[in-house]
Amino acid sequence: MLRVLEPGPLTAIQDHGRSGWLDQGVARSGAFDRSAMDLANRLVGNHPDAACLEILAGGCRIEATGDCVVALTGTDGPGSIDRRRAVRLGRGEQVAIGMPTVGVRTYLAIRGGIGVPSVLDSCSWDSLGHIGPQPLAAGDLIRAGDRATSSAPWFEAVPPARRLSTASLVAGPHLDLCHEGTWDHLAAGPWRIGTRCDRVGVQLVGPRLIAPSGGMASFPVLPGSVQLPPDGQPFILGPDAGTTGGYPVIAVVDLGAVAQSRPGDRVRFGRR
Amino acid sequence: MRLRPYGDRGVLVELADASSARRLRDALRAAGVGDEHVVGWSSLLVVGPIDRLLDEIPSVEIGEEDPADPTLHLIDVVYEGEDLAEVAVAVGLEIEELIARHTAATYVVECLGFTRGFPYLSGLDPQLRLPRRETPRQRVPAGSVAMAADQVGIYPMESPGGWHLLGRTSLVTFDPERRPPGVLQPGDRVRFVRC
Repeated sequence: MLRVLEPGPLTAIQDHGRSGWLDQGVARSGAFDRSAMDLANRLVGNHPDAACLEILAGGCRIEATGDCVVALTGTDGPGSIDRRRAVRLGRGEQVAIGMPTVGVRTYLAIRGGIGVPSVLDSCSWDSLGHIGPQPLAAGDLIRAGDRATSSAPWFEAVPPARRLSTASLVAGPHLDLCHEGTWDHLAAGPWRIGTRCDRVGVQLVGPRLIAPSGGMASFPVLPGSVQLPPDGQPFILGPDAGTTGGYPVIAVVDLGAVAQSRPGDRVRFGRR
Repeated sequence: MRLRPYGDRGVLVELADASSARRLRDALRAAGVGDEHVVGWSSLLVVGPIDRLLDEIPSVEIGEEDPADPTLHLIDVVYEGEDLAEVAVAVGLEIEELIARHTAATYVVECLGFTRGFPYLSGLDPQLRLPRRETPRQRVPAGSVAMAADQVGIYPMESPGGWHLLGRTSLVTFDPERRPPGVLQPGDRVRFVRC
């Protein structure tokens, strides 16, 4: 159906991720920008649980080996087909994705979803635990699955999603162990995305917060946790983060807020 | 027992030890309270609607003790870890004595985490305790049997790590086709066998 010509820096299969295996040390994984992936599936008429490609940055080229319907979402920027609408591809036609000008993770849905066997109830690649189908390499073939609904694809362009200008913070379990004022400093920032920015976690760079002294016994953690390590620079756990941590969790944030960020980007927090 | 709301996702319950966490998990599952229950070293994360959880968790009766006949795993280890000699010097024992003490103990799988299939074991001989390495290794080989502070672990896959490497086992601790996928489960007992 599709053949990968060049995968770019990281192109991997994602769906809604794994639920119910945290107690086995298995991360949730799944699409970093879930709303963008959901839109891609809707545009081609798939069930919401259909697997898509999550394409990091630019440089990915994919060729149709037969007739199919695809849609790209999540980013804006150069590319060989329009984003945010279903597109018919014939044999030999290509999808080329250049470096996005807005966002960093592009989602490609194919009508029917991606047909790969699931592992622990999901087709998602876990970049830390190495579970699920490996990231794609040049020459890999992608078959469409059976996750199309009876709805027809949507061939008209839809407007870009309104990006939230602030990410909502909710107090984390260990905020009360921190110095007074930590919450205000976290909310105020200003924060930028650090160089460590991947599916395992996103580092924030800004005012140095004061971490509480003393170690903590390993405790279970969830994606979206804002951890405060001793260096005082908060770290947001991504979809593939390990399931236990040892640094205080001072806040919890919706991962969608940083899913399309790249190093150097501003992050603004709001309180909920 | 102390309840800490985990944002809007659930409740982190702090407990005296992992045994209490396992017993609370069992009681909550039996009572149908919470969607997911994850055991930590001395805590239990309960995922679900927090108002309900804050209301219902304190009223659940926790069982008295762990089951009487826990599963015992005998795990073969080749004691040729990169840090074996260094650890022996640091704790003031001959290598043979170090291995003898490491194989004499019965360990308890307290919780799983870090990466999938990584068991945190308690029961390390107090004389063998060392703080974690000052500089973590970029690559710890899969199957490494390692220790830090009062904990022993088995690295299920090659990964970075700051623990002291004593030996290596061929046991695969995680199999995604198995149910549950972790071969070692919280509450199980472990003995290491030199081979």
